[in-house]
Amino acid sequence: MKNNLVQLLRYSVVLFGLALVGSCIPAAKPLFLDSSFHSVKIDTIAVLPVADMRTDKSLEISKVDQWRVRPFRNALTRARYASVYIENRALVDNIAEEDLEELDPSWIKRLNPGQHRWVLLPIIYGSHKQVDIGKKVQLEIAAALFDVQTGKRIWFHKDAPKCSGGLLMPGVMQDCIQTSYWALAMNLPKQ
Amino acid sequence: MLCAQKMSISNPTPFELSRELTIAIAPASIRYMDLNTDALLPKERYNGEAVAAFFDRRLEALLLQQQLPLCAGPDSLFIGGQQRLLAQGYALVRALQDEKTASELKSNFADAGCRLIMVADIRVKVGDDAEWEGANPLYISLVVHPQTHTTRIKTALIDTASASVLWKNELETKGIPDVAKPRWAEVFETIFSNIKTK
Repeated sequence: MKNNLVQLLRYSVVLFGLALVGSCIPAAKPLFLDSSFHSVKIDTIAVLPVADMRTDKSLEISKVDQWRVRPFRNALTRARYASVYIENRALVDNIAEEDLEELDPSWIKRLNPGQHRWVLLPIIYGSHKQVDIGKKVQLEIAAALFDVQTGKRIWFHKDAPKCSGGLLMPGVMQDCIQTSYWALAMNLPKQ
Repeated sequence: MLCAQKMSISNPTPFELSRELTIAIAPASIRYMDLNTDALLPKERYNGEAVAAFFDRRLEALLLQQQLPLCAGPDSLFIGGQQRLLAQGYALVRALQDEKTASELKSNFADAGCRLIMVADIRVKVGDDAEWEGANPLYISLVVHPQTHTTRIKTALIDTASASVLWKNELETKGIPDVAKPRWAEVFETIFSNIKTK
């Protein structure tokens, strides 16, 4: 219980800080934004479970699907999107980097979790330990938004934060991943 | 380097391979990407071809050492249809779902007595502190901070008769490949270390 409160407090402080900074600094340009983005009305975004594509899985992130909810919900709400959170891991379990590089409309259509047209896929490419320069972890985190009706990717962004103390302190990975997801979702242009 | 670089392997389970099956080696594909954006880096800024060729030579030597018969090495000439399929490299793994590719693999390789194809993909993600090597416009790792760069190698062994993947492995380590350093020969061999012959 105490741990949960500490986690919540730490996350709230980080989020508050980011909100302050985020309100002053324009979001970075998305790494990919389809030209059709502003011509379509995106109602509800279905956020899939996290596609964990790491080779080195020694850093424990088994609760990452839970960790994604709060930052995405907060940031997407700020950007005026409704969001729902899909729990079906079978949709993401076999995704490989190549699938995201050579996008095939029929593959995108298979990401469909049901009745939702707009599907957001959170991704972790890597959590690279950097033990000889002060116990840091270099994360590679990304998110992509797909239109599963037309089989198109319409937005993509990536973040590669370095997290200090990731190997020693429980909760650091969670903070770092949640902060990163929040920053990624804030990069999505507002409705 | 301050300490030995760790390597992570996705599949350490021993895999037995029959010496009766011949193997073709598809030339390894290699790309250098910006760690922060995944953007491909300009080809003139790295020596990718030399690294890929070094990887292919190490693989060929390892297979010969294990007395596994080769259909031909990566430098050998294959006929048109074979060349076109081999040029796909690691992308063949994904293409196996396509019936046309599956049938072409069978007619061009399995029916010609070449049962297996080894494919590999090398990805080098270059971090913030990459430096230029003097006047030579190649990326190098900083000696004291090689850890911001990551090299990931994926390999797969394809059965051309059934158009399926028999064996797969993935390795990740720090740093930018440098064929002049013995460590990289070791890295390239480690990914195949669980293949045993019978």
